[in-house]
Amino acid sequence: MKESENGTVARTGNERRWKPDFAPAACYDSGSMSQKRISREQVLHVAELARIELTEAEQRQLETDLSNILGYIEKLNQLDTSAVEPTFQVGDPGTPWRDDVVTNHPDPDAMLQNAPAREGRLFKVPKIIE
Amino acid sequence: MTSDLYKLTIAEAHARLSRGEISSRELTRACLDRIAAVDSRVHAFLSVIEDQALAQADDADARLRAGSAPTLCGIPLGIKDIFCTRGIRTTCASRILENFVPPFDATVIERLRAAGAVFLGKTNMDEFAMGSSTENSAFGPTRNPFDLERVPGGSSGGSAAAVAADECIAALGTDTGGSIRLPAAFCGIVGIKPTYSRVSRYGVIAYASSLDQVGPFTKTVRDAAVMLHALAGVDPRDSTCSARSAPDYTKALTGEVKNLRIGVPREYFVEGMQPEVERAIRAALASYRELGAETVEISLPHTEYAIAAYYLIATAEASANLARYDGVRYGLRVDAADHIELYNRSRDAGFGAEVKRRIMLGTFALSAGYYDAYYLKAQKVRTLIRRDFEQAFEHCDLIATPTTPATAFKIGERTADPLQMYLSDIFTISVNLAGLPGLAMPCGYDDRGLPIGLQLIGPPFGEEIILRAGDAFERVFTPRRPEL
Amino acid sequence: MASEAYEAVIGLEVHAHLQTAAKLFCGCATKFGASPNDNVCPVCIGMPGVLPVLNRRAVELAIRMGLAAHCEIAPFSIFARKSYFYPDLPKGYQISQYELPLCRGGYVELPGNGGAPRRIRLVRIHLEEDAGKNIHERDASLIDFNRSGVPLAEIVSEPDLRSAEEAVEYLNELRSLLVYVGASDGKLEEGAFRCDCNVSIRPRGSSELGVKTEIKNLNSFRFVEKAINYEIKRQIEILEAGGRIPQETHLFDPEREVTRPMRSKEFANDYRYFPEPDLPPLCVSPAMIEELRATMPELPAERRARYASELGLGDYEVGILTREREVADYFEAMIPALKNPKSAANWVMTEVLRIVNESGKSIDEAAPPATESAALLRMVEETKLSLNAAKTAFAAMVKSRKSAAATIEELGLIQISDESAIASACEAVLAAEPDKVAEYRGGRDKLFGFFVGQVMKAMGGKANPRVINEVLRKKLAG
Repeated sequence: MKESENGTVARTGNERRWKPDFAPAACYDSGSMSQKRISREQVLHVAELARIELTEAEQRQLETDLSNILGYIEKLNQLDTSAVEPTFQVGDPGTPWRDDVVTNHPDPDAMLQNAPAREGRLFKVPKIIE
Repeated sequence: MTSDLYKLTIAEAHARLSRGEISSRELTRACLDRIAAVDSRVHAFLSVIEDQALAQADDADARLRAGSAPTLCGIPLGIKDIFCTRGIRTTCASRILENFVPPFDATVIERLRAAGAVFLGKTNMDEFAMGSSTENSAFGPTRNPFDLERVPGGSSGGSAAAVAADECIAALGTDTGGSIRLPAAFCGIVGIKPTYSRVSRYGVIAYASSLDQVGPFTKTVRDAAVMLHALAGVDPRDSTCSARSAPDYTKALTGEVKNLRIGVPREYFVEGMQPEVERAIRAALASYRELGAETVEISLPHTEYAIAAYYLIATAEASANLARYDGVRYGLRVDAADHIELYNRSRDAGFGAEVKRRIMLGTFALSAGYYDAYYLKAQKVRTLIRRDFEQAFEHCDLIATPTTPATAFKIGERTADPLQMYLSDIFTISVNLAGLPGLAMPCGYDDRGLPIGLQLIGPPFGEEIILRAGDAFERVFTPRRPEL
Repeated sequence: MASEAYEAVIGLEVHAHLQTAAKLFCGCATKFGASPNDNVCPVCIGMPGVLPVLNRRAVELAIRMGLAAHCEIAPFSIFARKSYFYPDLPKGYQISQYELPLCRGGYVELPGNGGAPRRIRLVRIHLEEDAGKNIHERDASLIDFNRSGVPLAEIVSEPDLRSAEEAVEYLNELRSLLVYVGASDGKLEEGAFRCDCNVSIRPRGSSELGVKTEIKNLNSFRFVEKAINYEIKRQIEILEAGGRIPQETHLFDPEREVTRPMRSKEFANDYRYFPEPDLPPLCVSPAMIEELRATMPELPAERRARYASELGLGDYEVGILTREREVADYFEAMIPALKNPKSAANWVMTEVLRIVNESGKSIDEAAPPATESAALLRMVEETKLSLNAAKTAFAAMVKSRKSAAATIEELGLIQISDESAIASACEAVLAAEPDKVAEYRGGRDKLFGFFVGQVMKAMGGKANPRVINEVLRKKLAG
């Protein structure tokens, strides 16, 4: 990339440009459709981490969807980011503090009112496996 | 005859309310009647809280009679169902929160209450704000008032459709990747996503914490300035909320754009775009030149990477944000023998397909062995996208682009292909990644009469510039109302 | 058993509550004993849409702990989300620190016990929020979120510990430091202290690390000791039998005093850490660090060195006096009034600590103020009071809370050292016992004690025995 005469950043070289064509297949990088980028095993592992039970049909669908999406995401690898710092946040810098002052909620019972199951003032869940 | 009071803007309604020509009760009644008349077709609202709305209207009328009430006093609003409202069911359009009644108000809800605004009800949205069409609502899609076969855009589609259909005077939305601007464009109204940190996120059900921002839907740019003034400002409950105080944005609406430099990114005008959209945007730019502004070509070279980066960052944050829906303290619970089964079943039953897909993608992007290649990589690309804007703003005061490459699509047209749906946000998503303010407003109509949205992007905390420019354009452009 | 052939390698991860009034990210009270789910609000119960705001005091206490452990305090650190599902974890993630913790490096110095002090290096100290509490019933579990969001310092050591005893010594020193810097009240019951131990063994002399077992959630020093000893023995048995040690996470069963592998993979999870987007980076200015450094107390290791070099106290006394900050403070508050600090040391170690231990209360609650203890000892030094009388007075003061002077006055314990008064008493005794005086002068030395006793009796036991001795010797010799 270099500065062009009018001062804006111009692109050089022949990087691919994304073409917003709304015929579905044209959205993917060529060849990415058929490629499996995530296996059934990985889908199941991720589902376990995310604590979501998936039906057989959902597993199959996610295998396809996630493979396609990850295929599209691979375009990020066209960029060399080895010397780039990540941007985790875009707000103003600085750490807001709270003073160490107790401001208990006036109605703690209100925190329990949406509970699917309770025993007295405690939330109740099925047996916890350790 | 009070029946068409619902057509008023905030500015008009405020003028008549403060002169005592109409009451908030009449105005609220008119909106409730309008909802009753059209919402069975539009389905903008998930819940209408008539009794509470009328009670708020009566309170507002008392304040109005006492004199010097704020501009929003007595104004009936639609509230996206993503905002926690004390004592009012808040579902986020998800089965998992179907019966959730928050014991607290979001900061912006508190502010609107304090200003005397009236809440008509909670509006439809894509479940957990994940979507671009409002088809992902667990409670059925919202329809575009301009064409009921088409989507209103998403995720804040209910709020946008409600304003476009005159079911409320203005509405509240959130924007993570375009969720205010896209539906504003599709529904032919005004929507603004403020600078990240400008408006408190406290009590706004989180989708992607580093991207989510709150903003209004209105019928005019002036109304957007009024709403933003009420919403913005410091909040000690949100650590990411800016410590800068918010100006009175209506003061920026001078109508003057002479010598403003409007940047036009070449990456936003590419082949494949709907021709009427490009024509309308070019025409809007010509109007600005006639008004004395200057247009300069700029480049935002990393635009094409924005969607890929966004879908890693947003889903990663979402995967953690949505971990709290576990059936323990609130929300849907499916009976189970042990706690793990409780999670697996409740979350399976409670989340829709798109939410599951994004949780899965985000979980994967953060999981051992993939963090660097996906999540971290995306955050680095975010830096490049942000730099693009920083460099561009060295050459212009604001940026003008289309809000979307095409006008509203048909319901069901893109649901089969998630990636195709994600690409709807191509022109809005970079703005969230960079944390900038973006305004969407109508600037024309396609051959079918569907609205086309102009997007004005400002530098950080540049809301006044884009509101000023938007207001100036609005003075030379007359938007259409849908016929329902 | 070939246990002598092996060496244990132990690293500890200690979680200690920081003594703040309010929680780490919300305003709910941290105090124990509230009824279930009383100290909860939308933030610490993880309602949708809530956001954390950092308690400054918690950061200050963690930094003070970092300074006490000679850590480098990071001017810029970040909070991270640690994701796992557990019913007591309301958000499905814990806000913790991962990359870029608040305090890095550093060490804790253990008393030498005769040898040189030993340094246990630290990896890091970071801030995080505690989870709630699960109460397990037969076929359900109940959850109380009062503890959810209470600030914790996680203190991670290098694997520098070599025995269960040393681990406990290290824990005692950590606890002592926490109390010294005001980060804890030292009451480590009530779940305010939890520890994970990484234990491996290797052939003695080897410098390689063996496969470690992680033992989770030990909540008392005694359990740490038992669990480590059990684990060392278990690992040696496996190796001796020709087996291999698998990398495992174990739980300690306090009833059977054994460790067993965890059944669920809950903790062996992939935690998917990433920077917490709801909190900006934690920026600690050099001014803030210097301000905290300026208010740091003298630490146990420094006190130990000073007591040994300046006061001439031995390792044993030094160890006892410095372990608890309040004991050392008490001791030091006595010193200015006294000529001999050793008498103060003995006094604290015997009289004062006896009262403290018997009552189970803190030193401030159990014992008279240090200045009053010092007043008693001062009178002993000035021979106005006998040591026994001082002890009698002290016992009375513990109950009455009266001053030393008032107590001695009330109990009539003042010692008479006035030579003329004692001389006249001596003269009267000698005059009344002319036969015994003659016997003594004839060589029956033993009778001296009899005369002393008689004089003491005549003076109601309040006379200074040293003066009696002097006067009697003079008169009998005369």
